[in-house]
Amino acid sequence: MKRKRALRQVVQAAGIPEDIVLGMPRVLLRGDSVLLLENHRGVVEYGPERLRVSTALGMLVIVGKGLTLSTLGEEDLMLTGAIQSVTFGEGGRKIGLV
Amino acid sequence: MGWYEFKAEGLSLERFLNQCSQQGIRLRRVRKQNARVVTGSVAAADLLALKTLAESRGWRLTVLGAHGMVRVRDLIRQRVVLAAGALVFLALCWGILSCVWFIDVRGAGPYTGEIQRILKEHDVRVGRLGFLLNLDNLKEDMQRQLTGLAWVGVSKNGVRLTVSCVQAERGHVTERAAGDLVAARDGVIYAMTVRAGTPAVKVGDAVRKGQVLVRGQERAWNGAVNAINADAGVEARVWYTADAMVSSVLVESKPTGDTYTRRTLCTPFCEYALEDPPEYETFDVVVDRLAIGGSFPVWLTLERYEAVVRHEISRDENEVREEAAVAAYRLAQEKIPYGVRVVDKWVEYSMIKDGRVRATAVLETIENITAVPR
Repeated sequence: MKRKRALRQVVQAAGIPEDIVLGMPRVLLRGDSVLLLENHRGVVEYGPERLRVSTALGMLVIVGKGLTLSTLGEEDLMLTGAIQSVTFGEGGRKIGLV
Repeated sequence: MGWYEFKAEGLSLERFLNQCSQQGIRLRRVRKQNARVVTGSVAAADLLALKTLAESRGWRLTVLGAHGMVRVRDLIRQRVVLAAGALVFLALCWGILSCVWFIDVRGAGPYTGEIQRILKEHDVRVGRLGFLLNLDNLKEDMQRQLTGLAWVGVSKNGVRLTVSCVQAERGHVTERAAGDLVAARDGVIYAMTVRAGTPAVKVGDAVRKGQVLVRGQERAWNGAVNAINADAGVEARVWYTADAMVSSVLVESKPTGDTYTRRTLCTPFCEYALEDPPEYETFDVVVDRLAIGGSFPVWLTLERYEAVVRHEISRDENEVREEAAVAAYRLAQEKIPYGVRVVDKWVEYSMIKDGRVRATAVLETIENITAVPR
């Protein structure tokens, strides 16, 4: 874990995109209706109101209504619906709130 | 090509989705209906892999429907007779549209029957497949057989075959035939080559301008006279003349030293002389004009008179003749058409009573004098 953290600090210091080197998730939220996620590691839970996806930073939880997996690929997915929140971890950091 | 809608049933459907993505099966429009049922769509190419995965891992997969070209393909498979009928229909349409259904003959006049005969020889008829026709061959045959047509065009546009013709113009047999060739100028026939028509003159004949050289007529084997457009090259000796006169006396002026200046005030409407004219018997005058009115059109005319005494000097006769001859040749050459060959030239002199010498230059050329009468 320490080694990973050190590598991340080096990458950040060098200004290299983390999603390319470390496989960090890249999340693009288009309004509150479309979410594009790259570098995911699999769907853990999926329902019309909640999607949990495993990423290199842990669990990414998306809460909303009428959520549909428009595209599900090996490393990317596109989620459509009324997205209400996007958070890392079960109750952890919130990276977006609609 | 298309896609299928499916329904997957079973436990741990998230695992099913992950398995699909790990195996490269790209799912679209995935929607969870309840805890055990998920629907979605998959590309037609991935359906077999999806079915295999579902069967091997215990999920039940149901195909709900096909879309796009896959649906068309399935429909065709289900309705073989309909598909075959559609194919036959298309083939029939293509066949019908490939045939010639209309044959138009335009501008043929009295040659229409001949054209129909040639069309029949080439098996060109209504209902014949258009791509089997050799239109170039047909056109060449018509042009070869129908000499009375100046131009023949054969074209196929859709189901219509068009034969367009332009009839050759015939010469007119009248008092003054339009097909004749006449002399463009006077001359003596030097050589003639008649390509079409009947010659009306022969080599050595003197012809006048407008005289018929070759008649636009030809006699056929049965004695009938056919009107044609005459075609010939007629070369004739033609003479061009020009006169020039030069005085044999040169007048020389010698100033006496007396001068006089006369001023005249001028406007566009009137003139007012400030001095009278001089009383010199012979004089030379130089005229200057000075604008003095500023913006108004008023100017002053200055006439400077110089009294002179004139003496007549006789010139050398050979010199005068040479000068007149050069001038006469130059005037005669200006009359000759461009590109005409001069074969001979000479000059004749005569003296006129007032002391002038007249030179008459004659240039002889050989040129084509044929012209079409207007």
